[in-house]
Amino acid sequence: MEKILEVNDLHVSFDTFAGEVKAVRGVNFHLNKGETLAIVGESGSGKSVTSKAVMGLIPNPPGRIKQGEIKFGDRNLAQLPEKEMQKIRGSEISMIFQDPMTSLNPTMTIGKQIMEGLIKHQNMNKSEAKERAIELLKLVGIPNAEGRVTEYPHQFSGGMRQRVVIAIALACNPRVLIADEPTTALDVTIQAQILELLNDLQEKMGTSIIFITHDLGVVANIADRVAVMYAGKIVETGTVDEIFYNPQHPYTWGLLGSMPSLDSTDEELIAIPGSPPDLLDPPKGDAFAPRNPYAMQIDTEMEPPLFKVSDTHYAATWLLHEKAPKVEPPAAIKKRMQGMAPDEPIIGAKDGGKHV
Amino acid sequence: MSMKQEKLDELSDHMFQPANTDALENEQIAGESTGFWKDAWRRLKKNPGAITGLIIILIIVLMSIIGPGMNEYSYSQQDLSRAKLPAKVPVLENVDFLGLNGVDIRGTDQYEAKGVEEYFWFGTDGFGRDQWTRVWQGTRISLFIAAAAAFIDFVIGVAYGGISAYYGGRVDNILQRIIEVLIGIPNLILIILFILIFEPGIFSIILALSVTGWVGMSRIVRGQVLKLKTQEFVLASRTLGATSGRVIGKHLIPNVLGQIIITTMFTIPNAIFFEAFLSFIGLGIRPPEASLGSIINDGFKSLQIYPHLVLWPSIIISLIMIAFNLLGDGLRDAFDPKLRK
Amino acid sequence: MGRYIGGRVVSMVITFLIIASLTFFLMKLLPGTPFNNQEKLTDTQIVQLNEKYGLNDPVAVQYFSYMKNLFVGDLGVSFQQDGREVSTIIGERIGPSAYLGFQSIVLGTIVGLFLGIIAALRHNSFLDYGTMVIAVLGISIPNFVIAGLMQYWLGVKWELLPVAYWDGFAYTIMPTIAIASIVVATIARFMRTEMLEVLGQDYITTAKAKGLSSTAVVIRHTIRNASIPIITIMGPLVVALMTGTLVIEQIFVIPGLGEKFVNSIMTNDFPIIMGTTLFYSLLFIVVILLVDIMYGIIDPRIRLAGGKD
Ligand SMILES: Nc1ncnc2c1ncn2[C@@H]1O[C@H](COP(=O)(O)OP(=O)(O)O)[C@@H](O)[C@H]1O
Ligand SMILES: [Mg+2]
Repeated sequence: MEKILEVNDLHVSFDTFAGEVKAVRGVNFHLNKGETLAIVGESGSGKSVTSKAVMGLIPNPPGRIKQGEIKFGDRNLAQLPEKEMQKIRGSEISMIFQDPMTSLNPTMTIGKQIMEGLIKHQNMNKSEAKERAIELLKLVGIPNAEGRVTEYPHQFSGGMRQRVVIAIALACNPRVLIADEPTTALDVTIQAQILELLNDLQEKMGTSIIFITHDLGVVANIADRVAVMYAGKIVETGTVDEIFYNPQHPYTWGLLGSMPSLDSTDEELIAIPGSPPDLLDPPKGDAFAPRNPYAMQIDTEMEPPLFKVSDTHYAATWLLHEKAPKVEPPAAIKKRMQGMAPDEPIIGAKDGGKHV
Repeated sequence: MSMKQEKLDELSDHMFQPANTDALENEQIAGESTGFWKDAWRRLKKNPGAITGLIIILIIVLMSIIGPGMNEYSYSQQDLSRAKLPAKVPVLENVDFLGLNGVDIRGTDQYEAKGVEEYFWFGTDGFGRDQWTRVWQGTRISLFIAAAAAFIDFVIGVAYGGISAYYGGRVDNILQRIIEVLIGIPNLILIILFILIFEPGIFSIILALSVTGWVGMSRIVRGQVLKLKTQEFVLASRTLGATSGRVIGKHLIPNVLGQIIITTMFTIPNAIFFEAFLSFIGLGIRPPEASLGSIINDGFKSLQIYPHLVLWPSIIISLIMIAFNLLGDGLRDAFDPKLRK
Repeated sequence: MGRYIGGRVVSMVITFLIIASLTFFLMKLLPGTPFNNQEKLTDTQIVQLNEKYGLNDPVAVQYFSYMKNLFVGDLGVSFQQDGREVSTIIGERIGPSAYLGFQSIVLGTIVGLFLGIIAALRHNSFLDYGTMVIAVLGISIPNFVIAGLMQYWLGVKWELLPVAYWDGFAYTIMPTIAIASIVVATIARFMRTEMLEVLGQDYITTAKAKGLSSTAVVIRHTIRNASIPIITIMGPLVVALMTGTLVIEQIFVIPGLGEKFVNSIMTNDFPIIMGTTLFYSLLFIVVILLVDIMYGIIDPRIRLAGGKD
């Protein structure tokens, strides 16, 4: 499998009046060609900061990439000069943002907003760019594209705007698309449509996608692999099946437990108690320990390394250490783990789990 | 992602005992909100501009109270034999560049020329009245006018805006139409017409400034009340069983009051400016009473020869304006940190 | 859009009629007539003058003839200047005031926008703080103080510029600076805030994510959007300009409308006071209307919705 993007030991901090906010603290992940990687975690866990770091969009000041590399082909994006980065942004790596209501310029026609990238990266003239813009609008499923290309964002509904944002992002056929919570701000029915659109487009264009969400519920529908993020670190990573049916990290258990599922309505939803740690002064040891009912002495003293579960599955929890007592995951999670053999295809999961 | 499994094996067993997770409970207690006012004051204290403004205001207010009594001259006591003396201050007269040595712009020591023994700290005006006493007396009057106008704005504005927002519907509609007409008229014009009708004097100036002044306040109050009426935390505390009295006391009043204080901080310099402006167009305070504006306006008649008559009151009026603007900005930031840039 | 403008024009006319009536009745409330205070006049002369200027008619009659005349642009005649037409006098005096006002607002807006943009782009830098200091000073220090300082130092002491009067470009420089200071300060501050606001918007991140250069992002997305709301403070600024010309024309002895207005206040020349008041009000109302229409044209959200709200 060809790795298209690889992030190694990424540290991002913000220098604020209160001190250094360590938003990302040593993140490792990679993205394979043509796959969809979901990054999941509560809000504030550093997902957006990670993706902005990849785009070179960390506002400086106050932010800076302290350490680490972002390998894209043979280039290290963490150290690329701004001019070079501009050539990559929007043409090779693109991004979609959370709120379609605010991510379009209200005083510019959507046509012009799509054309900007085309004119910049593909040396098109205005009329070529406009033609391509109309094509793109059709591609993302906007009816009457010829008429709507000269309209303004406020004339579109939220779902339609998100389609426009997707059109902007895909305008130059990027190799990597980062979608930062693209459905969070939308109605449930619209959410499903946008997910379907992204799946379709990925099939047509072969784009690799990093899909960021705080909602494990949508992950099954779109991702091949999942990285679970907590307090600026990846705490568990694996294929969709592994994360859903054989989760190892208590935080993943918590996320799964707080996810409503269709088949078992009688199940109680268990919210993870407490709130994420203050990244100004992250706790010693495992950052999740204070909220972890399974926490051990060692969790308060040493950070757990990534323990290998399978070739594709790693988790950073001391529970995987051989000396750790065997603990029972919460009932709901256990039911999942037993109820379905890991190899069995997941209902609703993309391609029934075509993962590697 | 390489594992250092071997090293990890050395970890002692007791490390894998359950940890004390009391931290959990502590965390939930922390983060309780400190009081609205305390919070605002804490933020204000960190703003050097606002604190400077506050100190300047306090000093000027104090001087407007004690300043006129600090020497033996009265603000209306004329003596042509000592007219138009430049400023002369003991001790400071020896510091050349300050120009406080009684020498006029032509280089003549006027005190010597006129045989005056006394010191006039801000000099004297065309009638030989002590400028120090007059300037602080004028400051007193200017501040009084501004404070009174701000108070009237406050009373009318809060009542009008509050009623408009509280009753809503038809009442709100009618009251807002009236305001629309009022803001269509330049306040400058209304103020001038108003003063023309009444004799220019402290009270007619105060009234004139209030004719339109309250509109801004009423809109702010109305906006705040409307916003708060529907805001989540008010609804939330209602659902939690809080009585409306509690809602008003804990949420509405602090928020609205914050806005009111900010508005007042900008009303005062505005009123001081307008009062001075009225002096310039001949509708200000009548002599022998004096305000900062009328003193400056008088001074302009002989600016070329006796600049000190304009200089000192100009410095004071500018300081007042700057101080209130700085404090107003600071308060705005302190009350609404989200707006802070 | 057409209907929107129509509606606005109607409400503008109504506002103006209200102002005209208000002005008239307020004037009628004035104690006595302008001739009472003039010791040179005998009682018979006063009666004659009152007769001549129609001051003995019932108020209602006076009101209707006043409104009727107003309708055809007849603002009456001056009491003091041997019955010269008020509209003629305004026509003669408007030149210098309009010149000053225009020069101040154009200059002030350009400088203000420039400062505001630079301050926001160099947020929290020395330039930013410098601009904020200029803005606070410009908003705080009264225009007559600025005028006085310049007149004394630039005019009297260093003799760089003419101290007063109206005789060519050099004479306009100090008055323009004095009037424009508040425009510069207000616009610089407003623009800075708007720029910072826009710079924090998601669509700016979207624009950057397209790979646009920072210059393109700033010019095409930031400045453009930040400057639209500037139009909304033009109304208050025009009032500030009017206030400015009244005082500054006095100080620099400029033969403009403001100076005439102030003089007629001092001499109780009611027709000129009324005429000028109405003229200023009309100017204000028209500016507000133009501002609204312009806002509608520039901002597509309002243009296409057919009006505010
Ligand atoms: N500009 C910034 N200044 C200071 N802190 C920031 C900034 N941007 C993000 N952070 C901090 O980084 C952390 C991670 O934020 P983010 O990546 O947005 O989380 P999420 O996982 O919800 O996308 C948060 O604690 C946030 O406070
Ligand atoms: Mg985020």
